[in-house]
Amino acid sequence: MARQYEFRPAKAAQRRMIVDACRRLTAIASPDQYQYVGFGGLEFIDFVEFHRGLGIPQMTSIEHDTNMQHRLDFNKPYNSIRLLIGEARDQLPQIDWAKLAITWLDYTDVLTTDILRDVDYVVRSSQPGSVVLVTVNGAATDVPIPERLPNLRSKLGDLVTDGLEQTDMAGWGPTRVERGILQATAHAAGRQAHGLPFRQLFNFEYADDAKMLTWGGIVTSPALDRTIDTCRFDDLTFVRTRDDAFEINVPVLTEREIAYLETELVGASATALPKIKGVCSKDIRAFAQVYRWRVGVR
Amino acid sequence: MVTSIPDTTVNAGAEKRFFIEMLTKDIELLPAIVDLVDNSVDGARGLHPDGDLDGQWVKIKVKDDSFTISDNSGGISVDIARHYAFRFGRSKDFTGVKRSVGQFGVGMKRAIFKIGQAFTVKSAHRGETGGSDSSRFDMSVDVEEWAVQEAWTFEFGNVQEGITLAAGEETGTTITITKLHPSVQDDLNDPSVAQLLRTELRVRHQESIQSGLKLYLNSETPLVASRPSLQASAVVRPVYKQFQVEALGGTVDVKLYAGTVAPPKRDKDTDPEDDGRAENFQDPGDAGWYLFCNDRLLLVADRTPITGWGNPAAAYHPQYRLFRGFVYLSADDASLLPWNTTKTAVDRDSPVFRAVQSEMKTTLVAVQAVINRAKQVRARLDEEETKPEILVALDETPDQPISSLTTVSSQMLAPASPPPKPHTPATPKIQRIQYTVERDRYKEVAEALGASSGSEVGRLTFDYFYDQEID
Repeated sequence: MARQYEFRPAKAAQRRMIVDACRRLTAIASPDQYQYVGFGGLEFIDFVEFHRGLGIPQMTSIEHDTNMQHRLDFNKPYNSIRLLIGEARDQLPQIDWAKLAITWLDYTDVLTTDILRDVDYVVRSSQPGSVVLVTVNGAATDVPIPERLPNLRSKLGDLVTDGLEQTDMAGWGPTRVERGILQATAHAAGRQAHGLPFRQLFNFEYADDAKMLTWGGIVTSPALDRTIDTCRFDDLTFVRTRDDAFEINVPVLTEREIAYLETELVGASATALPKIKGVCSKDIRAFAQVYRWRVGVR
Repeated sequence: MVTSIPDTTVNAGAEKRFFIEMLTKDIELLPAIVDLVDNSVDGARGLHPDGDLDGQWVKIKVKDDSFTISDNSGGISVDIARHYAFRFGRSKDFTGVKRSVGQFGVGMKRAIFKIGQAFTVKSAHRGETGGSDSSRFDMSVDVEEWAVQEAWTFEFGNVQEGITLAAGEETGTTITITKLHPSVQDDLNDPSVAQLLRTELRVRHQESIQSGLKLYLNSETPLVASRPSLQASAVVRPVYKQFQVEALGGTVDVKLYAGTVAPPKRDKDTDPEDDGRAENFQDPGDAGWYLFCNDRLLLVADRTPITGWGNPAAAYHPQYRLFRGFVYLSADDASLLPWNTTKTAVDRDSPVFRAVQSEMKTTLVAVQAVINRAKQVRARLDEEETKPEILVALDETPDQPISSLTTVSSQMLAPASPPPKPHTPATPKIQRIQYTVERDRYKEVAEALGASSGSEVGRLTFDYFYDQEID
């Protein structure tokens, strides 16, 4: 079986970008002092990336399918991975939150109030300096435009503001509503529990098949806020601290085209991108944004 | 009068009647009485900075036409009475009692006005030296008469200052309220209200009663305090957190306990009349959070979003009926604590409460998670199966008073759930279809398919369509 990420190039690039950003946590603590909490599935791809990239040995994977125990035990790539089987909300309290954590709540569902409760709980429980990420379905794929707003309201109720109309629901519209609600929840939880709002670092939009949102950032406190400034997350081109999203788009190119573009790109100015006859410049621009984190042969 | 005021001045003075009405409007009778007890408790605590209230008593006597509360809490000195105790609102230069319950300087007066139209205060106070710096006074006020007089003053009856009290003489205060408001009179004579008052006093002042205070209500037998308890053993450990919250002007110490209580035993040996259990938070209606400020209970069995129910924890559901949480906030300066002036609710905007609230929320999620896990294990338990450890632990572990807990634990510990047995694969759901066609056309199709029966033709044509159009 081919590794799943070959079919999900945007997700794979995103994972590497996040690992890259987490390298900057050194101003707070050595990244290998963090624990990783994720939903590893059967493949544990993120666990491998976070271990290889940051040296994290202490990891916990939460799996809601209670029938998977034996396969998970067999498939987990490191003995040190602790498996917690059951709904996230019942398992998350078993994490030792006194330790710094990188927690990735990697759902495939559309945002719901249940997910928001998990986010609230993790932001509150995490030590300042901890990273929290949430992936949800962008609520746009396979939902006809007229049904998108009612669909969001049925899942999130009054959290969806009144001012929205059907015209706001085109493209990434519903995803942006989800992002706003996630941010408001984490913001309030951070302010209550740690004295300062949660600091957003990530706002990725990508569509390997369905439109997806990965949103996240870092838990801060008055004592730690200046230290987080010194991590200089803003220097990373994919970090987003405001409303705008970073859209990950991995264009389909041949190995020969990739080799050529990389050769030309490095050191070239951003305004003078290399060209290949027959490849549209939009794809070349997209490639230039992600090639460093692209998963592939080269 | 009007001519003596310059043209540029507008009269904004308070009418006393309006003032009394506003003051008493938002407090109910029972909190007002509890408030009076607060004053006595503060006095007792002032006498015993170590918190041991053994020997201290507060007595409440309700008669047809009077309400009396008396204590041996050290009394009010004439000096304090003259300058502070009867002022409305606390003066900035009054230092007060450390870790007190009283804070706003309205409780006693408001309670008196709430209950009746006339009152007498008698107090004996022993000075610091025990020598000739003691004092004694009494004071009678008819509120109706006072309301029509211009001056904001009360008049002492007898005043003795610079006296020496006999060595054995108890010092304290007696407040007698007469000319009871008709509605108050009705309420106090209503057995169900009297019962509520008993519960209210027992619950709200349970910590002081635990510390030795004897609180009497129309009886020679003091009230028995509830005793907060949680299941605790080698295998079950409730959450116990201790932390401090920095507030503007001081520090608030917080102790937080949360977990489960043992399910009520239903065996025949238990005397159903035994209300001993009711004294110890054992009623399902007692589930929820209890929040104490300087040992005075503020929130009782709270199951609202203020304490995390519904956000971020699950909303209350009977499956959480065994949840109990106890939070104790204490501060030398009572104004740092998050209570409203009637001490019936928390001040939600207080940054101190926000910080505590956040801990309560995550703690509630953690305890709910244990209850949920146990529930799932119970749901898939076969009858003949031996009970897994987690169920034995939560069903059998007895409650321990939380004062006996010493190990700090940020999580609720309970045995792990056994791994679930894999499901047997579900048998596919089937749908039967039947339809009628022309015989000639059927024969053509049967021949083309090489099928020999109607059911075979039906199945093969369905499969054909499915392969071509759906799969």
